[in-house]
Amino acid sequence: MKHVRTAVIGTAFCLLCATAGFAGELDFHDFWVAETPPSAMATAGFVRIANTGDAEATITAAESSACKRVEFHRTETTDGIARMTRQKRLTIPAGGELELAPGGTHLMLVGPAALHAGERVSITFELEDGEKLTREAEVRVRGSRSADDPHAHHRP
Amino acid sequence: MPPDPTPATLPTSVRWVVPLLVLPIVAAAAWFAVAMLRAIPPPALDVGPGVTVLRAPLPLPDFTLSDHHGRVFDAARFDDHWSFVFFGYTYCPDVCPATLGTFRAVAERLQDEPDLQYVFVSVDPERDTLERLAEFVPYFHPDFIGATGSPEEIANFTSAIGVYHRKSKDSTGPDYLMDHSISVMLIDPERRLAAIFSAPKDPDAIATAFRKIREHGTAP
Repeated sequence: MKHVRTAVIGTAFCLLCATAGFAGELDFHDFWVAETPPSAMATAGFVRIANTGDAEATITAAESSACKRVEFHRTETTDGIARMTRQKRLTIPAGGELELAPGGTHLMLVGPAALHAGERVSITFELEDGEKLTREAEVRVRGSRSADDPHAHHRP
Repeated sequence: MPPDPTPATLPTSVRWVVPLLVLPIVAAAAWFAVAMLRAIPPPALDVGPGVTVLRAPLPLPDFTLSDHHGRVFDAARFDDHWSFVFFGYTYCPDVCPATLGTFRAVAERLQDEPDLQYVFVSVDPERDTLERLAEFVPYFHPDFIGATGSPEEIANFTSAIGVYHRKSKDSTGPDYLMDHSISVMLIDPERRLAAIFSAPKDPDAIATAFRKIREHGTAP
């Protein structure tokens, strides 16, 4: 009987491991989405993703019930001119980080619902191996200190 | 034998004319040099990195846009105000709302400046109707002004002050993106471009720079 219980727990544990899989190695820090101005056709999401695993991680898609679709974009500024280009994937190096920040790479939430500061938005990321990972972002107002300065929280 | 085309000496009657010709040229050159020296403007005001204060403020051209209340928005709207102006589009998810967020933070810091106005000019009139601007712009601050107009009138304004904008080559369909200058322009109360903020992110730095520029004043 004891063996059976061990086996059950063991199997359950393995299943849990399999479910967690790679996702367990991506940590999302300071994940937020900009509050939407009325009639906004798009808004942006920012986060710092740390990969604690020893293999490169690739996010190939994202979706959310809070918008029509989620895209990855990068703003590049050359000679004072901002150009946005769509990115097919987000790559987080093994043991490294990827920072999505205003004026750089960001999530673009196309056709968003009205999002108000303080609400939470659930976004599901799909990894290259098909695994899915859902994380919650906080809605923040642009121009507020916490929104503009991702490191503000770490300061006294 | 043909006559020598270049005689060794000029006839006496011509020789006295030479100084008469040369003197005015020398005088003109001297006058021009003095004028150039006088024209060199004083050193530009240094108000911090990322801000260019124009040595000679640049008068704005004529243009006619509409503001989000439906009123005419032309160069005269800059009279008697200091104005921060930014050029973008409402579909922009990153730079434009971030800059309007910065405007909001600057406005908080400069509440005591009564004649300061903030203008968002949409360079995407195809999608940004006045109704859309009326919803979008006041969200950032009820006093902010949204303006747009025909592509020609927008170009009259932007091309004269070096603001770049065009549809992105990489995007098509109704969800197209725009490439555009990220600079914020400061217009003085004489409707002239006074300063350019090339990386307008830090509201404290912008507010401090503005106070210095205002205190210093722009050239008459």
